[in-house]
Amino acid sequence: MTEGTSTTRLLLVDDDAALAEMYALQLTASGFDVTTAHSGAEALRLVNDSLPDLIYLDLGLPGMGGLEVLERLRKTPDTADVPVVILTNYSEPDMMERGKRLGAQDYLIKVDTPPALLAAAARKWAQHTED
Amino acid sequence: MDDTLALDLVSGGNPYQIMSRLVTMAAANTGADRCTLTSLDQNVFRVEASYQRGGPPDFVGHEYPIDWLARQPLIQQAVTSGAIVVGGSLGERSDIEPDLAPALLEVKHTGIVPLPVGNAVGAVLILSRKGDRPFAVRDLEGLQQVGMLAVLALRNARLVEAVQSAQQRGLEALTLMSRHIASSMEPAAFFEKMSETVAGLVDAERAAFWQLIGDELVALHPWDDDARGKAGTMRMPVPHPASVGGFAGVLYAGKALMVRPETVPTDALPEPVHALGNVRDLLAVPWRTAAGPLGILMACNSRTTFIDQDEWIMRLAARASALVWQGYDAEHRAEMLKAAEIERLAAHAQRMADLDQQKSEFLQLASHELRAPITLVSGYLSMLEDGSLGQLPETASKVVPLMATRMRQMSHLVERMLAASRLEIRRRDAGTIDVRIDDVTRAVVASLTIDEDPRRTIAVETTGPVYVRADPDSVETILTNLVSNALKYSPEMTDIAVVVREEPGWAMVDVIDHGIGISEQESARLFQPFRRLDSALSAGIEGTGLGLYLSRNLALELGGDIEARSASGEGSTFTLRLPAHPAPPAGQSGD
Repeated sequence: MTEGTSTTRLLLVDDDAALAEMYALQLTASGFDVTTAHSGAEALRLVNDSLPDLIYLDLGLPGMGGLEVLERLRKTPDTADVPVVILTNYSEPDMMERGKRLGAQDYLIKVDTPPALLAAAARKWAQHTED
Repeated sequence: MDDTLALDLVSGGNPYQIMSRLVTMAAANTGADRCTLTSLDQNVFRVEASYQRGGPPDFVGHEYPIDWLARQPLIQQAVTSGAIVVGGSLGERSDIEPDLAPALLEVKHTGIVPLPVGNAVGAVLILSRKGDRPFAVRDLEGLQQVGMLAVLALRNARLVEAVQSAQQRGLEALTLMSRHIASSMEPAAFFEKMSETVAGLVDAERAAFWQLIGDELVALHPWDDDARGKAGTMRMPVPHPASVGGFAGVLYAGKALMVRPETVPTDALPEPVHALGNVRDLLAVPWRTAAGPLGILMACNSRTTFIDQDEWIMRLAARASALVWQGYDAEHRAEMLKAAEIERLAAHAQRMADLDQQKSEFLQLASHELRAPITLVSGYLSMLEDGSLGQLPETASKVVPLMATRMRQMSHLVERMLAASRLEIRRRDAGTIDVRIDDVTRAVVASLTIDEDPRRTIAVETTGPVYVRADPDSVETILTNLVSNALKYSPEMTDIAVVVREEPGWAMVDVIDHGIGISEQESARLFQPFRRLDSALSAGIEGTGLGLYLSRNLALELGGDIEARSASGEGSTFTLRLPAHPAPPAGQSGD
């Protein structure tokens, strides 16, 4: 499933390790280069080290919440444009609204999103960068 | 007796005119050159009328202190004995008053006729002659009778004058007091103004209301400019209830306390009053309601001297002020009660809001946490189904769809719980428009007939356009719920009818099925969350127990309600009732 020489690099941020592993399994099988982070701080560190093509970002993270991670990414010039798709089980309208306002590309509800759909969404939103 | 005088006495004519005629008549009848009528009271000897031959009346209105009598033995003898006295000149003494001297010195003979009123002598007629002929007692006896009548008339006239003056004063007091009472002053201002008025009415330098607070009497306001300048309020200890006289009598026995220098020495003033400084005389009356003493009203330093009528005026003022005080007190209590009630209601509302918030948050969190395992299991199941995790043995691949179906049911339950929680968190705001409820009903029935059971038809009866003012999504949710319940809870071959109709002020939708029905016991908990019918459970009908709860809450929010009529085994009728709304003007249809 690899397309060309370069691989689309995804950062999957979720504190539920089992869930992250399941998504990683599906996405890797679909040909993506997947890195997982289990906290907001870890996610920011990884992004700082190497900018991914797309971030799947959970909202209910321990310590720094997902919306704060998103806000920090958008405020930092180097990471301001990285595509972010929120992947969460919080479906409250005000959280969706805040996510969109902070510049999330999409807002997916986990329970309604089979893993296979994540691969399709990643193809749609990933901003492919040449290394 | 002179006829004119007799007529005057009977008809109650002007007493001064009667006096004047009396002296003239007395002089004429007795051949006197001079005649005066003088009245006596406790303090004063006063000339009321006089006659002198060949000259105008003189000395009328002149007053002499009562001890002047000591210098006139003839007059004194007549006053003391009550008998007629005759004698020589009254001006023979060397200490005669210079103004009286010319009149008295030319007199040679005098006759004194005392005029008793009751047990005392109220007046004397003094007759005198310049000539040598002395008076004979028997010539004067006739005067005593007629003179007494004249003096009675004078007394009567004086009394009438006093009553009239008292009435005038009382009326003035009432007018001034009622003016204060009618004004909507603050209590402090009211009592200060009332005190000023009282001071004016009883001609006192100071007046104040002293309120009974704990074991002290505290002045509600300073009682003169001097006190105003001093720091702190004027206060004094409350007398012991068992003590006699003084303020104790005023406070506890409802008596007045009057201290007058000429009758009660200033030393008799209660000690605390002395401490207030420069208090000569004093009048204190009780200030009390039917419930008990409030304090005292005190005036002091009268410019003349306190009289009984001052007490009456002060009692009146204290009584009126007590009524006003009761009014203020009742108002104050009512306000306190109102404030306490508002506070209690606010606290209750806050507590309910907190509980509501906690409940909603709990439900929200619980739902969210339930989603996590469902996501994982559903995710893996879908990967198993689509082969992402490799080929499954045939036996395993048969159970995976079953597991996926059950997971979807569980997911559905969680979603309904989330919907219920959102309903409680989000109070629907005014996203209302004109909705044709007959159209919405038809659309709901059409969609459910296709979605759920194409084999069944549902009859929709409408009488024409029926409008409500509502959030269309809410109306649709309610009707979807009611119709899908009817489908769920009735056998396939039975009829379902939906009737849209109007009652005065209401739009009504009846959803009528011939299903399993609801027993009386069950209908009581029909609209509670997570309550499912035993009959439904035993019949294996799927459901979350949230549908009716949600629908009823939505209907209540829209100003309506849902009612159920049913008998077990005979089907049910659920009626949605929403406030009817007039049809919108043409061109503004809300659908």
